Amino acid sequence: MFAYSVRRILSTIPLLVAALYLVHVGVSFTTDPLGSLRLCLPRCQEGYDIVYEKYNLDVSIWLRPFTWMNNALHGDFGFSESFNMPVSEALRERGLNTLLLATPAFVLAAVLGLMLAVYSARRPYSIGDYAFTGLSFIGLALPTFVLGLVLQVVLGVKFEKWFGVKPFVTGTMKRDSIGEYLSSATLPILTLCFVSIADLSRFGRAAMLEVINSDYIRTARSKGISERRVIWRHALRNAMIPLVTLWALTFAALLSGSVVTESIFSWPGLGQAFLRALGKPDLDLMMGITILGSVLAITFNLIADLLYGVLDPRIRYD
Amino acid sequence: MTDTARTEAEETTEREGLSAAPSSLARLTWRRLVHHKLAIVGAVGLMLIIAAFIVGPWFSDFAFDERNVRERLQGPSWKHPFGTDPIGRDLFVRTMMGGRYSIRIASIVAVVSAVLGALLGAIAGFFGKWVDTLISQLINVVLIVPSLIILLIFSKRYGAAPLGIALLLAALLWTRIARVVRGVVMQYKEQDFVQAARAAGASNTRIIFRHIVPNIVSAVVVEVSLLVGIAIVLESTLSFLGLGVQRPIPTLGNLVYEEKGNIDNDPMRVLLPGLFVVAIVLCVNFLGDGLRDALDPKTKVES
Repeated sequence: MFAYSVRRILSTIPLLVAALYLVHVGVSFTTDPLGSLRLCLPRCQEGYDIVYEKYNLDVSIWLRPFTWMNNALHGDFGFSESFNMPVSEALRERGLNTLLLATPAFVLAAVLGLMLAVYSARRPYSIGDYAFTGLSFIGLALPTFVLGLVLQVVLGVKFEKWFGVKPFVTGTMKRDSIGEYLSSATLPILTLCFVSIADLSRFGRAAMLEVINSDYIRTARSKGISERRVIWRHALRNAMIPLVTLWALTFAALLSGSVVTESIFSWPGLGQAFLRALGKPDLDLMMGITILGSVLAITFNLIADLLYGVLDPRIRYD
Repeated sequence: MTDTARTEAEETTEREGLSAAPSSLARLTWRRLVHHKLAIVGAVGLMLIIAAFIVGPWFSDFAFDERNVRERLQGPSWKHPFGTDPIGRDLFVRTMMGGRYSIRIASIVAVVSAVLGALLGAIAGFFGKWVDTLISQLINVVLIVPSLIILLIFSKRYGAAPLGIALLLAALLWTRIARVVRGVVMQYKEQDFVQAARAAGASNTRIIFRHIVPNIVSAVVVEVSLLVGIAIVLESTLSFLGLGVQRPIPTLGNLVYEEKGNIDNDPMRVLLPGLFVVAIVLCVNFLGDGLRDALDPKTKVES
């Protein structure tokens, strides 16, 4: 298993490098850090030179990523213009805020999704199953921004005392006390949770249905094991195997920051930071967020694959 | 498929060991599709929405970029069914035109990424070796970086025009189709009927077009129908963040972006274009689900 992990990580490194290279070239190609400085040229020659120097603008676009990668390899991810601090520090601060949203949203979505999946799979084609299937169809069709706005209208504006959400006001996140955290985080957490639940419950239902109709479940039942034990011990363990990958991908996506949710609820996380960096433009921070997101995706994929082996001992890594 | 449903011609071709005429796949699919209730709901709903987008602006006296500041920020009325925006443009016409643009963008995305994805996926699957490695690694690179990040970066420069954003989305979304097609081709290329055709002296071209393409088609059709939904959601999300199609051209996401400041006092004007997105994606997903069942040869027609 250890050798497998090492091999997996080594084989994704070229991919990661290629992805980072493309993003770096893309950002250099589409944004112009000199933009406003160019307009005031003779007067702000000094600032112009500083920016010119910082972004190595005398080097060709195709070579610039290598300078950045070389620095990154030595632990230097650059300096974030828009936050006026080193990128690694900005990532830590913003990442923590995103974590405060992502973790509760993921746990809630995973638990609720699993319960819905088990419920639907035990009573397939019942009224409840149809109702949840319909809801998850709507959930899959809802873009995050519509869901966020709906929640804001229904809960945020109507119950202003509780959630105190004023749409699109920046810097409203408070986490001095648990109450304040809950009042500003509940709506974004619910948004993120609903978006993930639709996917998780539908996928879980399919996985559970397949297992529940298999022979070994009938055997377990005929041995007289209680239904609860059959479902939660025997069936669930096998149904989880395909579900775990989806969990890992969902959590990785949530952790790398949700641009839309965070911007609707003015939550100062990674997604919002990315939008700000894009507007500036703040190349180093954008690269930092990209590398964080990519590494998270790769890591959680690997974790999911390793969990496969834990859940299903027949799977061997060689 | 019941025996009575078979035509005589189909049975003859089967007896002679020839593949059935290409039209029969389409005919069978069609028969299964019209029995799929959700697919019918989706198809009818989608047609109604598109028809509304096409016909709607004809019934209005206003152009989508015609402003009349004296009638700004009005609520719904007979003259302006959806009200007017802060500079007095008629929101009904803008929503309908926005829908037209959104649908048009999604269609371009669907066509371009289907062609590109099917072609590259088929090449990777059929020829294998280094071509396959190259194309699969290209697909994997796109999977590693969160797609919204890539889109945000590039839409800053290329996303302002409808065609630009459509090509941008296609450049990202072809990978989904390529992955599916590659898998299907690799699976079928080793199957007995292809081996038999090769042994009978069929050329590469004949094998590809007579034996493999019909199998790809069903996979691509399902994937493309889902892709239309994804494209509409991504386009409206980009526009909602202010990085998609630029004003004065309206798209459904754009309209939400322009009106979002008024969500406190008049939520409907903000949510309405968003609900259109939901309705379109819902219909497209229903249709896609129906197509998946209809194209699966194992599904039986209930009659």
